[in-house]
Amino acid sequence: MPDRTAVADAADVVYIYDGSFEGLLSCVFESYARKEIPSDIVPEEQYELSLYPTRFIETNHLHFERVKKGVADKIGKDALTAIWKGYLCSWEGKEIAILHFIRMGMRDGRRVIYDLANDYVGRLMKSNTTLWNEAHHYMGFVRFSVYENNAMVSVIEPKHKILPIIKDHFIDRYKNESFLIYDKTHRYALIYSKGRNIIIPADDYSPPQMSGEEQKLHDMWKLFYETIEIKERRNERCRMTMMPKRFWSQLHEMSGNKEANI
Amino acid sequence: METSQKLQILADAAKYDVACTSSGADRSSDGFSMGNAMASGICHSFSGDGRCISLLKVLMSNACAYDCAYCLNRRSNDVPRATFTPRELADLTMNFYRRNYIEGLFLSSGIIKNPDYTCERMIETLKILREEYRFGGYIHAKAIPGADSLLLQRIGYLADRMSVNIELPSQKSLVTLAPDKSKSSILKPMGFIRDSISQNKNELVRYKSTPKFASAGQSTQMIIGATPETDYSILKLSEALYGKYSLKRVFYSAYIPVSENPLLPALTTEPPLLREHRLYQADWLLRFYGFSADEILSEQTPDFNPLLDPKCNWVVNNMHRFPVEINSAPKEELLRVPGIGVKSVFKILQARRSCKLSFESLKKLGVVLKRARFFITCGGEFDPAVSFSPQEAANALISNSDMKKFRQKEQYEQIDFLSQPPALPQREDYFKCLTGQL
Repeated sequence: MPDRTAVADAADVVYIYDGSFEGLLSCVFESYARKEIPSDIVPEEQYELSLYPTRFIETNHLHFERVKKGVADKIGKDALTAIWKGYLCSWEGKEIAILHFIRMGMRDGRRVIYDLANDYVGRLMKSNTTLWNEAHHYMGFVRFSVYENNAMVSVIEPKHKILPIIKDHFIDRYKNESFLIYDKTHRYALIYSKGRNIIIPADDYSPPQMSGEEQKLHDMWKLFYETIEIKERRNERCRMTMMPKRFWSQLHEMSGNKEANI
Repeated sequence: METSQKLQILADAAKYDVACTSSGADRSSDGFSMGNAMASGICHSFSGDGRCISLLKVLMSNACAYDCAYCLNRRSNDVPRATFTPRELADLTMNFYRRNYIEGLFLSSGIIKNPDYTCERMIETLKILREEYRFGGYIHAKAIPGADSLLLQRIGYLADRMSVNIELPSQKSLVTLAPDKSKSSILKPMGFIRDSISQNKNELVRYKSTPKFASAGQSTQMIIGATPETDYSILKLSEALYGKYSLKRVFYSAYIPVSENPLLPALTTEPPLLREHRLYQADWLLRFYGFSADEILSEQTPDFNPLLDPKCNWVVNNMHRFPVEINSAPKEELLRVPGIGVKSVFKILQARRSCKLSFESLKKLGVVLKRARFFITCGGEFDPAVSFSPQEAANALISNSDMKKFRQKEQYEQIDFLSQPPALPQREDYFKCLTGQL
């Protein structure tokens, strides 16, 4: 097992990967193989020319599997899940933090996930919470429109890749329905129909025109939303805390609201 | 009448009911049904008053036969009336549910003709939902006081949560303001629901297939500020309800004047929001922090401190129990530190298994130290960054928003003990009243 002291501090090299989870763990493998800690790891999408030399890390399924198994055996399945969720969440420096987390865990074992006071561990665990919070928000804020063939469609704009997290919830909820949730930010979609589901990249998707009947239901919901408010207790700030403006454009009841840009 | 028109009238009539939670039931789809329920509950939207919208909250009907003075739907009030047909309401619920607008239905009702008839209409709606549409989402149903217990039982098997509103916190107030209701007519169904739930739990242990009776428990609601009860008596009542009737939640609703009546506060009275807020804070202390009502208030100080939340107020009166050592104090003591809540305690307990905690590491855990740092030590040391002036401690304990609320809502007379001319008091003055063991 490589001793941390045997590794140069931070090598003057930037790893570039394809942005997938497999690709990220391939980078971790590469870091062990070359006995170096890159100064940064960036997905190719976000790469901007830098002074450091770069190394493109090819996604390698075997390497991915080895790192995955190593993490699961040595640090535990919880840690593997935490890393995966950390990857789904968007945060500054996540790749490097995950690399260090894995290196610490391979050295110290399972207790590393309790070491919340450590910067890398703390931020990784915090990203898990952030991801879950947004996923939980969207369990409530996803809005479906129903089309003539009974298909349900929703378009969302989350900050993080929450589709894999909310998948089970919506499948369980609408088991006998067909639905599509399109993530506009990360340009991929969850499609479910008749017991089968798939998550696929989709570049540009816009839902079809909805029927008059459907519009009526949206209006009824908006009417309910406006009626249920107790005007004597109006509290703009509280609403904004609970339901930040970034969600408004996706909510039927906020359509026509000055702040929402539909 | 069009459905949307009815929706407007009946949602408007139901909006003063506070409970809109969808928590407590955990159920996944059986493969044929539509819908599930999640233990934590899900908020689907937030209305302009900042309250969570989780359920389609409507009345079956607002054509009420009763004449309670505090209620908008009383017989003698001149408002438009409407009544849903069971089919109409069930369809609306399903349509909203499919679009992920709601977790389910909150069904209450004014008294149509008599309590039994009202219950039957509600049961019919719930039956269409559960049996015909195989709706697996959340249902919260109001028990109608005075209805036959067999009918209540049938509702209990269809709903996840049941509730009976206490409405007013004492028998005397009920007699004056709600002549058609009485303490016993409210407590009887409450006791019945409690017994049915516990009996059902025993049966569930024996036979797994027994249908569940109100699996998310029961809750209640009372109106604050319409009648002269003290905070202490209200809190004692809540404590008794949690204990004796095993309620899941007690909701408090600041009274918003809806009618001119010599027995009620004037129409110009502002709803006592701060008081309601304090009651919820104390309610949380009862349920999650291991406090008892007598620790929070007493006969001598029967009302909440407008400046300090109930926990800080307790701390100020129990300074001898501090500081608390973060690395060794048991859970119960950590829970009593101001600024440290249930989540932070959990994080501290978890993190201190692997290393000794310092103030620096507490910050990294995400424990907010603004208030806590005056009351804790890490490895026997206070936070070196804290200067222990009484001024700073007071600043930390009194939150800005509380101060603002206090200034806006309360009358000057109430702060007369500051022996101040009626100018707005400053923070220093608040501190004086604080150390004076207010």
